[in-house]
Formats: sequence, structure tokens, C-alpha cells
Amino acid sequence: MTRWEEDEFTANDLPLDRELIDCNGMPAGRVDDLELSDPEPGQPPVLTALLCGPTAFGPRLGGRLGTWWQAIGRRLRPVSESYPNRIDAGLIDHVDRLEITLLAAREHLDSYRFRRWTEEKIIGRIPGSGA
Amino acid sequence: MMASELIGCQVHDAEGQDVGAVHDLHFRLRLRPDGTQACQLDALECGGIGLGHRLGYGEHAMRGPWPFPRLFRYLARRSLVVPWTEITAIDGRRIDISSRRDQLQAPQKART
Amino acid sequence: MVTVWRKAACVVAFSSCILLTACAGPVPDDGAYRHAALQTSMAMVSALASGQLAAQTGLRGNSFSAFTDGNVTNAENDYAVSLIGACIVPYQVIFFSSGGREEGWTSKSITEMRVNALIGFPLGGLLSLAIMAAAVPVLQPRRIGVSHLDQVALPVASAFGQAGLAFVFVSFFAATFAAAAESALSSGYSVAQYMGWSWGKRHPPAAAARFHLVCLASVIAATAFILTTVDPVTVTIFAVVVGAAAVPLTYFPILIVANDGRLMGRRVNRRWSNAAGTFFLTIMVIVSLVSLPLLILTKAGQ
Repeated sequence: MTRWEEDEFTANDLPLDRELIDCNGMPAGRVDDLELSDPEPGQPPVLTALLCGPTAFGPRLGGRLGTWWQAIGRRLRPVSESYPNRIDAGLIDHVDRLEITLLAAREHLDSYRFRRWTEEKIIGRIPGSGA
Repeated sequence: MMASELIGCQVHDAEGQDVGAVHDLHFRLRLRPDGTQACQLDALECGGIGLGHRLGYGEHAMRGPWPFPRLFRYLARRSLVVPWTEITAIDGRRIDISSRRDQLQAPQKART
Repeated sequence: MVTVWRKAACVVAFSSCILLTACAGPVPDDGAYRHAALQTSMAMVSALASGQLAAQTGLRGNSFSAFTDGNVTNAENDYAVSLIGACIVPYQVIFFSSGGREEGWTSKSITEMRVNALIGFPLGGLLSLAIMAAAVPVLQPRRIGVSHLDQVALPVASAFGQAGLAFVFVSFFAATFAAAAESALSSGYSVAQYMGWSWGKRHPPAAAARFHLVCLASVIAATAFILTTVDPVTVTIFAVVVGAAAVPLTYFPILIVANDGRLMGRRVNRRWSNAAGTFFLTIMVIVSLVSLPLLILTKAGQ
């Protein structure tokens, strides 16, 4: 079960913009947006996932800059699907003001795609990179 | 539904009066009957100026520097909390609620 | 002649600013931030003092009477602003705080860091003054205006000959290499930390791929820019003045974070550190507001 620092909190205060750290202590991105369940009548929505990446950050920026940011994010994807990188709420271990720790390794997360591309295509080809 | 779709929406009360733009979402942890934990969206916070909240001055843990806590609390004094149960319709960037503006309360965040 | 009380006022102001920042209270557990802020305050004070004293040494023509009359011209103000901007650059805060995280500074490192700031920055200011003072008797009689780096080497060359010149070249390389490394790393740090990527020199490049990519790209971009044969001195003056204008944007968040009780715990800012901090922030805001108009008015220092 996820451990939260407080029982009641606001989106800007605790989850949004927090750094994500995977189970090995490596940074895995930042929380750019929150995914909520579709509300059923009489039931408030529930937090179902954390969203990160430029396709999630663009809508939060808003305006023209946000649209461009989102478009760049979409272009950098191998598939044309535009749904942001999703980290299921069940993978969250601990949430506090410094960081959010996850139960999975970052290689298994969708947000690793861009990093893996940079590592393989650019940095990995330079001698001495340690790849 | 995403948080960014709610933040920034204009809220209108039962009489059509503008309450303000949503700048924050209130969550509360609840235990479901089957023992799992749910992080529920309790209320929306709207009106006021969001900048002070973003810098952390909405909570009362910020002590200074001198003019800022007062300044931001003054700017945020028109912040109002809309419980989720009051919402009647969400249409694009517009949210309608069932109560009147003067029936809404300010957020109570007396944390040290 | 500069009156004695003006000189004394400079010295008193300078020393009291040192004392104020020296007494800046208990260090937060994230000591790097406080250290960086300390350094920037010290640098600013050194630069202010240097700027005023340098204006008095007549480097810009007949400034003795100008200073005593209180009639400091735009050029001198621009000079002071560019000196401040050269000492306090936004990347410094990012570089030192990230370096502190990488090296694992704790609250035990505070004495060492305070000594670094209290000795390092006044020393730097003193060295800048020395360079300026040494340049005057050599360059002014010959009416040489400094527009190229090799003209800075002239005083040393005329005093110490070839050995001195070799020494100067080594020191030029050291200074420019350090600055390039710091700014490239700072670009990497700021972008990677904002986006939430892994960052750090301690990781091999493959483990912090995007961070190293940003560092590399900024070095390449900077080199390409210089290869366009743009005048380096103009670029430098422009860069430091714009940097001075941007400093409040870096300093202000530090002040806010230092006041956050939930992050700083019991080491949150006390009233007088807030007072000192707000005082310096106000000065920086004023400097930042006048820097761009001054740049335009003096046409980048000409």
C-alpha cells in the first residue's frame, strides 16, 4: 500500500512536480500531471496514475507554448499515440515533499523510452561513455 | 480525466456568478471496503491568486521573508473550496455547481 | 583627490557586509544552497567595492573628481554593473548547489564552505582590483583601451618578460577552461534537474545520458558561436550584464526555499538572515532593473 506523507493534501502541494525515484534510487522523471478515474454519479474521482513526459507537461503549461511542447513530445515517440507516459498508482511506494519513490525499476517505465534512445543512438557511440 | 483538465476551469455558482478559476485539487486518503487505499478527489480550490499557493504560502509553514506571507495570504483571501458533491456539470472548461458563492468556505489549512 | 571619508565609508560598508554574511546563521541540511547564496552575496559586495574603487583609480579617464562630486557617469555605472554581473552569474548557484549534492556535503561541511566563500570571493575581488590597478600605469600613458585579452597581459609582460608572459598564458587557460567547464555543467544541471532526468558528473555518461548530451551540446553551440568571429569582448559585456539582470530570478527561489519549514526543518531562516537576504535581494533587483537600460545607453560599454 502506498505511504503518503499526509492524509489530506492538494495536488500542487504534494504530488505535482515531484521527482520520481525508482526502486534502485535512480531518477525516473517528474510528475507532470495526474490521471483521475472518470467520476461515477455520487462518487468523486480517484487518483489512478501519475503522468510524466512532455505530452503531459504541455497541457499544464497551457497556451501556445504548451501546444508546442506537447507536439515535440508526440514527435519523439516511435508510435503516434499521444497518451502521456503513465505510472500506475499501484507502483507508488512512498510520497513526500522531497520525492516520490516507486516500486518498479525505471527501465520498465514508459518514460524510459527517450532516455534509452539518447543512450543508444548518441551517447553510446562515443568512446568512454561507459555504455 | 486528468488533473490539468480541471485546473484552470472557470467555476460558476447556482446563480451563474463567477466563483473563480480552479487552481488546486484537494485529495483525501480513504480506505475502501476491500482494504485497498483510494486517493479521492474531495474538493476543488478556486479563486484567489495561484502564485502564492505555488510558492508554498498557502500552507502556514512559510515564515518569511517578511512581506511575503502577508502579501500572499492577502492575495489568496478570496480562495474558496468547492466540494466535489456540489458539482452539477463539467462542460469543457466550465464547471457549474449547485450552491451559491456566499455559501462556499475558505480553505482551512492551519498546519504548523 | 578622493576624500578620506569616502574611502573609509567604502571600507566600512565592505567589512560590515562581510560580517553580515559571515554570521548568516545555522546552515540547512541542504548546505549547498546556503553556501551558494553566501558566495553570491560575497561576490556582489566585492564587486560593488571593486567597482567603486576602480572608478576612483581613474581607469575611465578623470574619475577622481567625478566620484567626489557624486557625478558618476553612465559608463562607470555600466562598469560597476558588469563587474557585479561577472562575479554573480546565475549558473554559479546551480553549479555549486549541484556540486554540493554530488559530493555529499553535510552540515559538517559548513565551516569549510564558509571559509571558501569568505576568503575566495574577496580574494577574487582583490585580484580583479590588482589587474585593473596594474593596467593603469602601463596602458593609460599609451592611451591603450582594453579591447582584447592579450592587452591584459601587457603589464605582466613588461614587468616580468617572457617568463611572466608564459605564466599569464597558463593562467588565462586555467580561468577560461574553468569558466567553460562550469557553465557547460550548469547548463546540464539546470536542464536535467528541471526535467527530472538523472544527472551528475559522478555517473558515467551512459548512466546520465541526457545530462551529458546537454553539456556537450552547450559546449559545441558556444564554440560555434565564437567561430562566427563575433567580438568576444562585446559578447562578454553583453553576457555579464544580462546575467546580472537575471540574478534575482535565481536568488529569489533560494530565499523562498530557505524559509520553508517543511524542507529545512529546524534550520529554517531566522529573522536576521531573512533581513540580510531581503536587503541583498533588493540590491540585486535594482541592479537588474538598471542593467539593461545602461547597456543600451552606453552601447555595451563603448
